[in-house]
Amino acid sequence: MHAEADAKKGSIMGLLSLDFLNDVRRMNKRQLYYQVLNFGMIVSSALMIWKGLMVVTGSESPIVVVLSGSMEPAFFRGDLLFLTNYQEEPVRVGEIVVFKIEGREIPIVHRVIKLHQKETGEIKFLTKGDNNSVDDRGLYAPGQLWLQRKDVVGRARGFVPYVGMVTILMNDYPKFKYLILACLGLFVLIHRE
Amino acid sequence: MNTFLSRLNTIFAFTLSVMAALTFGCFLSTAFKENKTAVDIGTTKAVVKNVPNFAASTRDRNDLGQIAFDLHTELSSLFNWNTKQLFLYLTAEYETKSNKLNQVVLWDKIIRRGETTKLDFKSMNTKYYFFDDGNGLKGNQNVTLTLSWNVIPNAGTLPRIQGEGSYIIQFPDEYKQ
Amino acid sequence: MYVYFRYKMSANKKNGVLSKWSLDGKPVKIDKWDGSAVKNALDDAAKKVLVDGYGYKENHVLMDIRLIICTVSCMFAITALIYDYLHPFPESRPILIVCVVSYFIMMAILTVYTTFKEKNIFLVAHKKDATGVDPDDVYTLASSLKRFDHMYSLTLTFTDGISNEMRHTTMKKSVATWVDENGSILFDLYEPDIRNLHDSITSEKKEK
Repeated sequence: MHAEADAKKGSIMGLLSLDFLNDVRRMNKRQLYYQVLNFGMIVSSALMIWKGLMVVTGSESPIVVVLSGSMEPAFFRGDLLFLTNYQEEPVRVGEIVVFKIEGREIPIVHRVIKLHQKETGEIKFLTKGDNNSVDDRGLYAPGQLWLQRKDVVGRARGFVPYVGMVTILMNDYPKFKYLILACLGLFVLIHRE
Repeated sequence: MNTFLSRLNTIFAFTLSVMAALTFGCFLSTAFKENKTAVDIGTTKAVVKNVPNFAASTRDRNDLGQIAFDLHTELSSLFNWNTKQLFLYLTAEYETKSNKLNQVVLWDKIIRRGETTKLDFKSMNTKYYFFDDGNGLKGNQNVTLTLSWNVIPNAGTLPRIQGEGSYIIQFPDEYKQ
Repeated sequence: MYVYFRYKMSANKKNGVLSKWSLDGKPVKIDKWDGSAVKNALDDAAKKVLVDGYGYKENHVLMDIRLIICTVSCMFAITALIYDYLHPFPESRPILIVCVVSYFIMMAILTVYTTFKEKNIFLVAHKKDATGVDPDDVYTLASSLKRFDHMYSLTLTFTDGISNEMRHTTMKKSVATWVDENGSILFDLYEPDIRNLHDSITSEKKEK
């Protein structure tokens, strides 16, 4: 009795574990390769759109997610900013720039409040977060008083609220991120269109 | 379309596309606004001192301008359904021997939707120190004050507009002790 | 006559891992609510009849061209990724422009190719001329099954190798004809339908 029940259970488990792969198991090698390519094309499309945006906007990261509340109430955590970084366009006071500081991994999104431009076009400027009471000199590298053109990653041009929340959630729960990515990847790989 | 999950997925995808379309429509409806209006600016005081630049914690003695300004404007025309807030800033722009262009924000203010849009300030002090990057303020006869605003939408572009109207400060030739 | 049984026997002869992995000969069972799975299963079965049943030789060129287009596009993406990694952004700009533009052109080509050339064709099969002198007769199979619809339409096109004359015949039936309640494909009901389709187009030829 017991043995028979166990055998039955075993066969059911066996079926369950491989059933979802049946589509794949029926494929010939062309179809298998196409599945891989299909997955590759989804990743490629996302990548090429990103690189295309880089080329069009001139910024190495054309879309950023606001990570801090230092620009509230204009931008909140999780809002999305579109950046451009055209070298020929001058930086001016009042503009919201995204800049990198030596020794800091994450770029900062703040507003330019002071700017001096030499005859040669060389500029130095100071930034401040709308929600901060003091300017950013405390955030800069030790001894650094001004930012320069080369520190700028991009300048805020467009704004969409909340959308970046997904990214923040994913970064806060890396396991969750990998789980979702793995599931999506597996689905694309084994699911025949 | 036979399982709960597939229906949920369809509803979710549809909701997302409708929201994206609405957001884009909201952006388009206000994308071509000029966002311009007139501003009255004046000053009641303009002196210049020569002091160590404590704001930049250097020992160099830089020119520090001290002004008090009058400001009068009405900004309600800048608000529409796609305006979250205005960021107003008062800029002093001038040329010195060492720098072709200097821009210093002296004062700023955030006006959120629903707050009063009528500004009427008399003899306001500046919010930030007006330090020059050297000694270019003494006797400078052409320091232009302008009010500009950065319109922050609910979704869309972030235009920076300069108000129509400016005021030219003429700093005295002597330092105030 | 029926391929189904022949296949079941040949599958049993294989041993080892491959036979465990391979589903050849086992009845095809699918999620009957999943339209694309039903379509794929019916397409596969129709293909099997023509290729295994009639012994026509499958011509893979149509699929291979698509594979090449996709591979080339992926190559552009990989190039952009690697080059941008080795020479960070402002420097890599010219190469990125080339890769991005080429990629989107390839995508456009792929779209045009699948809509105008491939259409819904899933099989091109050649019937070798018995004497080996004349060009092959070509059979193509195309199918469509609209979303949330149960009507499966299968079109068989015959191109005469000598006269280059083309003939179509279409069968449109509910998928319920060949898929049972559990989602198994009823191959022994489906095969005669395919054979009728094939024979009708071939007999037309003989009448002339």
